[in-house]
Amino acid sequence: MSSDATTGFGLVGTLGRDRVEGQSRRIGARWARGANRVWTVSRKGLGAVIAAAALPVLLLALWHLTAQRQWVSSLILPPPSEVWRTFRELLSDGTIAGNLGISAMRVAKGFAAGGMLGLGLGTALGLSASCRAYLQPTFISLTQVNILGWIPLLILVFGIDEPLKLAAIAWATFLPVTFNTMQGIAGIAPKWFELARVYQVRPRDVICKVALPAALPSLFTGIRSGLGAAWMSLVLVELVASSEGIGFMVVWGRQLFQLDLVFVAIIVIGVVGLALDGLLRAVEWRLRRWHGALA
Amino acid sequence: MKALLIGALIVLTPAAVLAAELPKQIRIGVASVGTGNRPVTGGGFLATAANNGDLENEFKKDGIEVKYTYFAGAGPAVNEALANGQLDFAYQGDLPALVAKAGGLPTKLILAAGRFSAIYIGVPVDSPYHSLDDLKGKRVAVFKGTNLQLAFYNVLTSKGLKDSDFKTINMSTFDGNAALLSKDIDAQVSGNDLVPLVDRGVIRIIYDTRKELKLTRLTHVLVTEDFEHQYPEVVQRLVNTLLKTAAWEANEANRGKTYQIWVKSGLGLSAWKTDYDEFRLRDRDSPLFDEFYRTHYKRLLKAGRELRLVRKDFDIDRWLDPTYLNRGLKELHLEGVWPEQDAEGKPKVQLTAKTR
Repeated sequence: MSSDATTGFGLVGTLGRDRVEGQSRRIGARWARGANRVWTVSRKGLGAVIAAAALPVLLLALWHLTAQRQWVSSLILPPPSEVWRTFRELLSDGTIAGNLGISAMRVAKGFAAGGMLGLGLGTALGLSASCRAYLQPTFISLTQVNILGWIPLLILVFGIDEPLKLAAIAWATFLPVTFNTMQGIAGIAPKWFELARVYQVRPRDVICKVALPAALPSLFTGIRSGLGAAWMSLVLVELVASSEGIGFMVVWGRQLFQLDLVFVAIIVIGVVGLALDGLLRAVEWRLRRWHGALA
Repeated sequence: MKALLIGALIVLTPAAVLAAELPKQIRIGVASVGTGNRPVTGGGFLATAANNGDLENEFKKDGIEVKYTYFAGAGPAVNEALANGQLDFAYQGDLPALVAKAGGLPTKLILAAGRFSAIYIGVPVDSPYHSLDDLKGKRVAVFKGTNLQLAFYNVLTSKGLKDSDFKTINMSTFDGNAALLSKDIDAQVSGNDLVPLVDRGVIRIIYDTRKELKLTRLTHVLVTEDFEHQYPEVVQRLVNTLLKTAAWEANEANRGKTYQIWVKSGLGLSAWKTDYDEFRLRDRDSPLFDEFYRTHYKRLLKAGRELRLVRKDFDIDRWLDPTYLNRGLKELHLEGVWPEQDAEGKPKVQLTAKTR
C-alpha cells in the first residue's frame, strides 16, 4: 500500500480518535452507552444505520477522490467504480460464492473443533480450582502468542494442507472460548453448587443443569469472539499456502497485480465478518433476555 | 562569423541543457533473488552485467548511481514497485509484464533478455509419480503470477490437461523447494533452481520444456515511459552497455566464464549447465525482437487472456520498441552477432551462414 493511501486513511483515523479522546471520559462513556443503545434497542431507527454508515461513506468519498485526482496510481488504488464492477463480475460468475463456500467450510470445521475443546477445557478450569492451579498459567502464557507466531510450528506438525488451516482456525477459536467459559463458570455464585450438593445432584447434571445454563451469557460471549477469531485467522492461513478461499483471493489479486480483486476480497471478508457478528449478537441478546427472565 | 557563432550556440544549447538533465539514480528492479534471498542473480546478460558492474562503470563518470533491487516476490513485486514509481527499469518475465501493461502500467520493452527458458517439474525422488498424468488431483506448487504459471498453463494445454486437474498451490520458488523436500507438496513447477535438488539426490525431474521452445518463458528489460521521455540518452547508453555485455556473452569462448559469474547467485554450475548447455548462448540470450520473440509474446498474451490473468488485449508490436536496440546495434557494429529466429525458434538460414 502506498504511503499516500496510508496517510489518507491515517488522517481519518486520527481525526476520529482525537474527537473521542478530546472529550471527557464521562461524556465518552455516556456516548458509548448511547451508541450501544442505538445499536441494540432502537434497531428500528434510521439513526443507527446513519451512524454506522458515516465512516464507511467518508472513507469511500476519500477513496473516490484519491482515485479521481490520481494521488495514488490507479493500479495500486483502483477507483471504487472498478472495484464495484469486479465485484459484480465475480459475483455473477460464482467466484465469490465458490471461494466463500470453501472458506466457510474451513471455518465451520475449525470452529466446531476449537469450540468443543474450548468448552470442555473451560468448563474443567471453571469448575475445579486444582485444574486452574495446574493449567491456568500455561494457558495464559499460550494466549500471549498470536496465531501468526504459531503458524511455523503448526506447519511442521500438520504440513501445509487442509489440516493446517483447520488447526489454525481451531486454535484461534479455542482460546477465547476456553477463557470465557472458564470465567463464566468460575463466576457462578457458590451457593448454587452448594444447593446442588445438598440435593445430591449427579456431577453430570451439575454441569448440564447448573453450570452451563448459569454461565450461558459468558459462554456465548466466548463463542462470539471465538467465531470472530476463527474468521480472522482463516484469512491469515489462506494467505500462507492455499489455492482457494476468500483469503486466497487477496494473495491472488496481489500476485496478478489486480488490486481491485484484493479490495473486493477485503470488503467481502469484512462484510461477512460483520454479518456473523451481528447474527451472534442478535442470538446473544435473545439469550440474555431469556436468562434475565429466568434469574 | 557572427552567424556561425549563433549557429553554434543553437546547436550546442540543447545539448548542454540535456546534459544538465541527468538523473541522479538509475533504479533497476530484478524479478529474482539468489539462493537464501541474496541480492545476486544468474542467467542472462543482465545478470552478467550486474555482477560485472558494467552499468555502474558506464554511469560513474556522470555521478549517476545505478541501483539494483532484487525482489523475492519476483515479477508481481516488481510491478508494485513500478506502479509506485520506485523503479525506472525492470528485468522480469513475460506474464507479470503482460498483466501490468494490460492494467495500464506505462512501460515499454527495450531489449529481449532471455528466451527458451525452460520449466521443470520436480517430484521427490521416491515419489510414485512419473508423468504429468500421474499428478492429476495431486498438490502441485507453482509461483503464481510469474511466467512459470503461464508456461505451466501452456504445457497443460499442449497435453490436453487443465489447471483444475491438479491441486495447484501458490508458492514462491524457495518455499516450494523446501515444501518439495518436506513432501508437503507432490510436485513443484519451477526453473533450474530444481537442479541442485536433483544433484543432491532428493528429487527427480519428470518433465521439462528444454526441447519444446514454444512452451518456454521470455524475459526482457523494460523502461517506464516517464523515464524514457525524460532521459532518452540515458536509456540509449544503458541499452548500448547491455548490448556490449550481451555480445561478450554471445561468444562461445566465454561460456565457462559466464557460468562462473552466474554461480555467484548461489545456484551451482550444474544448474546453469542443465539450463544452457543445449543452446548456443547467442540464441538463448539474444537481445533481438525477432520473429520468435514477437510471435511468442503474442502467443503468451493469448494464453494469458485465456487464463483470464491478462485483462485486456493490446498491441505487442507497439509495446516491443526496437528503437534503442537497433540504434545500439548499429552504433556498436553488432549487427549479425545474434541470428534472427523464426516463429518456431529456429535460426533463419541467411543469417546463420553469416555468423558461423
